[in-house]
Amino acid sequence: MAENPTLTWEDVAHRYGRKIYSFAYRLTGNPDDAADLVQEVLLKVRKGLDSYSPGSFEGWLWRITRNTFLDGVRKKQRRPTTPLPEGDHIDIGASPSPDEVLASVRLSDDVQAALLKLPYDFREAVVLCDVVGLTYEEIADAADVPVGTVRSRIHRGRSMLRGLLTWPV
Amino acid sequence: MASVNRVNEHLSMLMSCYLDGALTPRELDEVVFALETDETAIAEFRRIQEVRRTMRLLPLLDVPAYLLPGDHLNEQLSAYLDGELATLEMPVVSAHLATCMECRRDLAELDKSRIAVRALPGLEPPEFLDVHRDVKQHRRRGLRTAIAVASGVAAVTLAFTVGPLASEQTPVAVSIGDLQSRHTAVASVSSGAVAVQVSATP
Ligand SMILES: [Zn+2]
Repeated sequence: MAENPTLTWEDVAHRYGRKIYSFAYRLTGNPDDAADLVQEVLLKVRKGLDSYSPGSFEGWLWRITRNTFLDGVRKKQRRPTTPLPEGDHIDIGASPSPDEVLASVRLSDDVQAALLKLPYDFREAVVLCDVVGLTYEEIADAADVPVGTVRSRIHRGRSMLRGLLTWPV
Repeated sequence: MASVNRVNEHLSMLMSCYLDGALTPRELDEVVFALETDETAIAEFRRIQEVRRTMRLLPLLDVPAYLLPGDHLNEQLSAYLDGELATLEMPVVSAHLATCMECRRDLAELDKSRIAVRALPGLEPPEFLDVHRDVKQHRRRGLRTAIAVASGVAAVTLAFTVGPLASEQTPVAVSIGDLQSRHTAVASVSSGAVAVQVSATP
């Protein structure tokens, strides 16, 4: 996604709202935290869109999102996470087949639990890559680390997840 | 898990990157070569692939609707000030106000207009107040008159920052206690705007 000077904050909300929400949800397992994050990020986007200078919009947005999220975590000093509600909200009409979607619902509780056991840096990298769908460069930009670090974090995150997840026989 | 033949960590990382299309041409050669020649590498590759696929099957979650921008608030603003908003509407309106500067400004202006009207019953709007002054042209037809009446009143205790209207006008005596009691709802929503607590009903 390139720079888009005509993007309004409403556009951002509709285009990125679910991703921002899912990002926080997957990192915390907590819907309230996720909702708080969306609200705060949209407010910052609204305030900052005028001053946003051309560059990677994704990088800008996710840097704001990540920093806001981490500020929130620091402020709240980590309250215990709550379990996922029954199933997830499923995006009907998305590309996976119904079977895959059903399987993912059954799995998602386990996956969420496993994610929460990863060190934050690994969890964040995997979520930004696999859930949000950012490229390694965008993740590096958002997290302000070299791409090499991103590669290693994603790899180590996945390795740990492999050990944590129980696979069907 | 096979502990006998393990792929080295570096190759394993390259295979993870490979799945994301994040390899240099040279690294790509390295991975392709391993996958063509090494059974253990293939097994490792499949495991990484499976983890990645599992993560990618996690659905994107729907944002609770009240967090997304809807239409701007119009009639709801009056109801909101009067405490007559339906319970169900409350989170929607609060969340909108938390992120929408325009509606917050309108709310503040509407509020000032009411204070003015109540404090000075029967008074005609002074001529020096331009009726159309400072009111956004693209909406708020109905609010204009009321807001124009109000523009002579300084913002007294509104918790959020009001736009340019408030500053240079003559204040009118208003009981702060009265103001505050009428605006507890406003204040709880607007303290910092960021900190609005809205229950996350799915
Ligand atoms: Zn609005």
